[in-house]
Amino acid sequence: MSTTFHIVKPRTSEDSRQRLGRLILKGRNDIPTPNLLALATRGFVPHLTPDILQKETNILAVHAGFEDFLGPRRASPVPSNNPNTYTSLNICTSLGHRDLEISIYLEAIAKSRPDVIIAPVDIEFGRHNPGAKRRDKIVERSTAWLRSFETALKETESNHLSPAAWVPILPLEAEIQRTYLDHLEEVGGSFIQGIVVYDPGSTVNVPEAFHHLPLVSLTEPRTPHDVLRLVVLGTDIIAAPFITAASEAGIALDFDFPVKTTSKFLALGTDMWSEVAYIQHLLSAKEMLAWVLLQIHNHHVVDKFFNGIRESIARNTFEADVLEFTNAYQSELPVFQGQGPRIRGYHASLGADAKKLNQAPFKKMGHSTPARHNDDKSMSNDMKDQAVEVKRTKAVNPDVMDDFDFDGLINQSRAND
Amino acid sequence: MSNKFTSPALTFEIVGKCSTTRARASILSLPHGPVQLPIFQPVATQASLKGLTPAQLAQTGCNLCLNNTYHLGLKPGQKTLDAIGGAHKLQGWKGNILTDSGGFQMVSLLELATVTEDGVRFLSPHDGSPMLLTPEHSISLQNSIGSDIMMQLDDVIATTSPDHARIEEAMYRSIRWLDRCIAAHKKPESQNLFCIIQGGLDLRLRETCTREMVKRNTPGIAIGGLSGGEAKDAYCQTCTGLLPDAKPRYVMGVGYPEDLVVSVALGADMFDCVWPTRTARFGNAITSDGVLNLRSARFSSDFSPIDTLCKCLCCRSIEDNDGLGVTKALVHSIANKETAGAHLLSIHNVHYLLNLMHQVRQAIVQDEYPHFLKRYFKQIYKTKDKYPTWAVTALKGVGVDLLTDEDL
Ligand SMILES: [Zn+2]
Repeated sequence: MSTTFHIVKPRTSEDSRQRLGRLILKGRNDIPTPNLLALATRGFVPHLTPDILQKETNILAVHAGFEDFLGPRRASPVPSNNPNTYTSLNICTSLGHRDLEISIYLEAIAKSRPDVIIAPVDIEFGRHNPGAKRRDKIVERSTAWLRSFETALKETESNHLSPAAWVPILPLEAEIQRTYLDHLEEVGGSFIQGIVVYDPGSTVNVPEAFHHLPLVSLTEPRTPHDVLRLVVLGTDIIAAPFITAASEAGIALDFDFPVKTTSKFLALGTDMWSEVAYIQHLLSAKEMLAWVLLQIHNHHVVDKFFNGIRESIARNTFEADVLEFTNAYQSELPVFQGQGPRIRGYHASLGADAKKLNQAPFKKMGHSTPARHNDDKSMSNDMKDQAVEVKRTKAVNPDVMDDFDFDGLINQSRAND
Repeated sequence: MSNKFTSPALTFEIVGKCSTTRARASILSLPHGPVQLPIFQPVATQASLKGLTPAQLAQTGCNLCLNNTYHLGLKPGQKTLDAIGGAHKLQGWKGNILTDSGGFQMVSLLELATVTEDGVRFLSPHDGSPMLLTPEHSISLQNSIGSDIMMQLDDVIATTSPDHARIEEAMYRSIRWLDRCIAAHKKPESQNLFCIIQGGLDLRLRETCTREMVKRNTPGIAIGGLSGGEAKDAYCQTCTGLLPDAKPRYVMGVGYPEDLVVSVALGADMFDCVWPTRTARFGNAITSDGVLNLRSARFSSDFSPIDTLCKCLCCRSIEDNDGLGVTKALVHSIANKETAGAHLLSIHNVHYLLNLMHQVRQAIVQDEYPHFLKRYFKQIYKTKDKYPTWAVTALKGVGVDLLTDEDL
């Protein structure tokens, strides 16, 4: 058995279900819970190279989608554009939407040797409120997939490569998924080593028999308030997509749990566009390092946040601390003001026709109109010395340039070969 | 002939010379530490090297990098630079910084309307309003940046320009602008101003320019306007003959491996180029087998390191001093999709060129540079018929015949 979950401090109330735990994965650092499950795309926490992840962050666990290459889908997947079938799951790969044969996913278990593998379920992300017919199918297929999953995983066990199996609760009402839940109970808590929820509401549907297992949230909290709610709902390991989203929006997260001041209506983050700092410079100059530094910072803030949560639970002050936090901080993250580095990379997987979202700032003296920028105020007037007739402009090689270091254009032909 | 030169903010000392070519190995001591020459300087255009943290940059072995005055003058701007105390503080960089004058940027970025005796007129990339960059203003900005090495503003024109009168005008104007830059320079005790010898390829003009600029006795000499690449033959003939021995020689905008090793043989010490980091963003790895585009399908299941001979953070195995063990297949899967992919390749590519120059330096110190050159070209090109003619010709000019095998 490659994982163990110790409950360090059990739940004391049914209304506020927080607890302390320790997840032990063989050969890895122990993970005290509640804790963060960082989200990766293509195996990378966005913008962070592995050396930085190791040296500059306290991230202990990373979730990767099989479509990038370990849960079957990313935690915040691109919506499916085709329905799943009885034997396949529609996913979005680096090459576009594909049908992933469940058997192939299961074969990959043996090869990619994750610490933990999440059982595939028939959820079509992006399609809400399935009809009655569709709901039946979800339950039927998910149950069938779970059987294949179990068989496949038991085969790897003989090779001593066995990852821990985490199994989702379907985002449906308990009565509707009754056959699925019954099957889970049949399979039992010696095979199943963790429970995953894709929807906060599903936490109430976790069968009693699995309450000793780590409860993993792959839902989409938008704020630290949402994360606290998930802790109250009893989840132990929590994914938080808002961290990367904030970094990419140029927001430095800024909150403490428990609250450190008596002020009210504190902002949950600082819009770095309003700060004079290196990061502000990098954002304004559209340099990729801005994302790197914000990711390091924001993960650090969330790491401290979870630390605070655990200490608060240990002290038995959690409920009061949550209340105080709720009153002290604004309910949403700040709204993104400026333009970050060019949207590229995994964002572009939304479609081959994804366009450049930022405009090239450098213009030829020529015809058309000048670039419009929303950071005019931060701009220096230092170079404006004398008046010359203004001519209108056109972008330099807009299709060739990949980023904003336009210097040394002469080497372009080689750079592109 | 002296092997050592000292000025208020710099000491240059030659520690080894090739007995065949004009290659030298030297130590350039700058305000933020000593630099071993020959050197390749990566370009951190806007005080950031394409997503690498200053610590990651230092780890590649780099202690001299380039910032662009034009970009920093616009963002964060001179006031902010003055308030923060310069570009070293802005980016948390403890190594040395070299800045260009800002003029070249405008020629390459903006189709210039006018260069007048006052300076370079251009339109703001922000709002289209007119701006003027004068020699005085360029120096003032570079003083605010606090670069260890600053460049004069020069009248840059393409080396291939057919307009002889315009080339001559640009050359004389650049000399006059050098005088204005020297006069405007407020911190000669802590910052070094280099002249730029024009890359116009008329030998007579170049000689005049060199003589006049050498007279001004700047602590170092740059050779500009050569990065076009199409004029390598001519550049090689006129490169370093007239220059004083005991001063650092910086060839601007040159960065392909074969250009570097040939230029060193011709007597150059310093280089810079955006190519290694830019090309990383297109998935290209500079390796001892030449440049590989890792986006190519043939690398999709190649689980060897980016370059088996490389000892950079990425290429070292996890067992080897905490390397990352990055494989070609991994880069293939994330190239152009994850910014981290570009960061990893940038780390490798910059390390490759820094290490290449380190090996070059060792070969010079051991007086084995001709042998090094032959081995290098053989490794990159495999067969002699693929050697570029300009390189063969240039090296013949300094006593190395790449086409013979003796000495290999
Ligand atoms: Zn390497």
